[in-house]
Amino acid sequence: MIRPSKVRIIARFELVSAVRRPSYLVMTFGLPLFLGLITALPTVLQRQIVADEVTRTVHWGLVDTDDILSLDYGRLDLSTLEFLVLEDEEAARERIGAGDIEGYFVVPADYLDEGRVFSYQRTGRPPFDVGAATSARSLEHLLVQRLLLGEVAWSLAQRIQKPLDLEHFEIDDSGALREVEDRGLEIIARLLVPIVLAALLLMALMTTSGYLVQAIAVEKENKVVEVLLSSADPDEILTGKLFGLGAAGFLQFAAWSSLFIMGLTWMAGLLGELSVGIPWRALAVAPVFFIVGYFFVGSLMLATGSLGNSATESQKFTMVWGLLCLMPMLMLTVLMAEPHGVLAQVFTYIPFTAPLTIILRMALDPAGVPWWEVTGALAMLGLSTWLSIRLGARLFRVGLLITGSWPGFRSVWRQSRLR
Amino acid sequence: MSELAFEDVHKSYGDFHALRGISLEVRRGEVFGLLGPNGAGKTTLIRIALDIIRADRGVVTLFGRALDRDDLDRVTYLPEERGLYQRQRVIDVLTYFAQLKGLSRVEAMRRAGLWLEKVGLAGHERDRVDRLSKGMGQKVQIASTLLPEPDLCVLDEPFSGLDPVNVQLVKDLIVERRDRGQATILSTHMMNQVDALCDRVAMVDRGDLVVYGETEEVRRAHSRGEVRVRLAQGELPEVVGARPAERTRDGAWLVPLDDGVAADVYLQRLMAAGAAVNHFERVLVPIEQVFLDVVGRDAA
Repeated sequence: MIRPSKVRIIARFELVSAVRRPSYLVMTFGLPLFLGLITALPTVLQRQIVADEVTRTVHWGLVDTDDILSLDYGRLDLSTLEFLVLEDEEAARERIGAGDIEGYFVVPADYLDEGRVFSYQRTGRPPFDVGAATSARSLEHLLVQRLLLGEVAWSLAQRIQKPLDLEHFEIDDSGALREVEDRGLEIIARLLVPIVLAALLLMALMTTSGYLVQAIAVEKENKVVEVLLSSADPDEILTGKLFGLGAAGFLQFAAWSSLFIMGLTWMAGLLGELSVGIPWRALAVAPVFFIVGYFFVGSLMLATGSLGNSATESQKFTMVWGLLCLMPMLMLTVLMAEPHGVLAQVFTYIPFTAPLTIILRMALDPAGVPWWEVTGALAMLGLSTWLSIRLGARLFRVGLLITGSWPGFRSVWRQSRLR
Repeated sequence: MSELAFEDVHKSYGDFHALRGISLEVRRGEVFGLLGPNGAGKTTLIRIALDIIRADRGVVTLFGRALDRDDLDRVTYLPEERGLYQRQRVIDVLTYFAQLKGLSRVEAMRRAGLWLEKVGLAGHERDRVDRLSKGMGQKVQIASTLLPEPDLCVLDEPFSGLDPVNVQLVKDLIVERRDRGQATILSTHMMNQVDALCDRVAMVDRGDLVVYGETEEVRRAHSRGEVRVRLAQGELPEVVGARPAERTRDGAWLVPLDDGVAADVYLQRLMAAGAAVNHFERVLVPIEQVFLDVVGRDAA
């Protein structure tokens, strides 16, 4: 019979010990803030630079040798580009020398036959030259316009110039339509959000389980475990540790998720009202899956970790659980391509892969995961957690007392049944 | 009344018999020496007493009734070396272990302060354990074990790493416990401390209880029939039943008696021979000698 008072004391001690560690504080708050800063700063700076470049008026020269474009000499104002239509190349070079223009185009007399246009610009211009690109695009438009003038109807000329103006819509299960603006950016955001969220969940699970393994290995090395065992049952120690370090891990996950959502919201605003759907449903179930998943993996980690004689040996024993939890990340491309495919469905019901898979699926397509799948996955995970805690407690009892050479799995199992 | 009793306790790990029919008891208010060579079964016995492992066979009673987890709040254990969280503050470790023994947080903090002062570590409350010297760490561990003022405590090598002044400090703390009627199990290889402190002893060897009883009785039973004689004047006369005597530095004589000759018979013969006997005592071998005789013989 587990005594709640002992569990509470152990849990409190483990929680306070964990959150006081500098490494925990750095991992929980320092790392996300640092990552946020190194992501945000360049974004802000680049955005400012690009905005300045885009709004700046570009001055470019144009020499139409055979008057193909039928333009009057002088200035041709095209929003952020101003073409200076010049008589000949000599005049253009003079204007470059005077700093009136940054470069110029020459449309030669044989343009209609050859299609060649010559571009000249001042040396030392940047490799990604917004001015040159804008002026080239504008010249292309001008040429198409002039070539079609009088040959086809005006509306057809317009279509030839811009044959595709895509507008995106989504249709849900009820048949309702939703217009999606700027599909490309939304797809990137939609892929990014579930991946980051799943990665955060995995990191929190692994970090917290790592704390468990480290804690028990240190206690065995220090012989503290014998003092603990003289005061509390192995089941009480296991439960207390799971709760205490689980709370520390949950705080970490909550801090990461909050910072991520804050960052995402800010970035979305920054990138021009990008319609990034924050996967609220996935975020709502994530804590539940974190807690149950943590108890499942944590109890196995603690039990197998207790079999080692040192932190290194314990980590070796527990590595297999970590790898099993990593499976959804290894199969990420398949899950992203088919979030409700066979693999995703199977992973949903395997306790090691369920937390990550369900969060990933719900973030990718919230409406595509029916409630019974979520509860089914949770039920399966809950059942496995109950079994793993029972099995874990047995192994833990034996593992705590193993010192010296490894007695073998058969012997450990036999002892776990005998006590 | 016994605080802890083992009756015909057996424990095996596979084919290895760690304990073979051990029966002994630890009484209230006594210092009980649990002795034996490495791997003899002492730790197994201690672990069974603390309900860390269960005996295969036999009966264990704690405070007069079958082992109950709640009764273990009245028992504390100091393992041999270490046993502390190295990266924690002294006050946190003391408070944590005391709380696990049923003390409230406030009471645990209060007693932690008192005990640190008692062991000469006042002002080290906020120090990290791994920053303390070995001796200081050992004193923190002793404070942690005695702080809950348990009715029974198990001290495994409590003098390890301590200088003579601190050895005396720990001995005084053990004697204080005896005076308060609390039982202490002392497991140590420092046999002189067993002679000085233990009321009764048990010696375990290869899972068997090979020596058990009052310390004085055990020493007497293993003594070789040697007497110490001090004369008021003159030389020691030669009498029947004794082998050649050896003079000690303080002027006394150590006389080995022949087998079957009782000490009082030798004294009568000595006085009949005209010796002016000032002091006469039977020499008891120290526990260390008993250990060497019993365990050393088996090992040989």
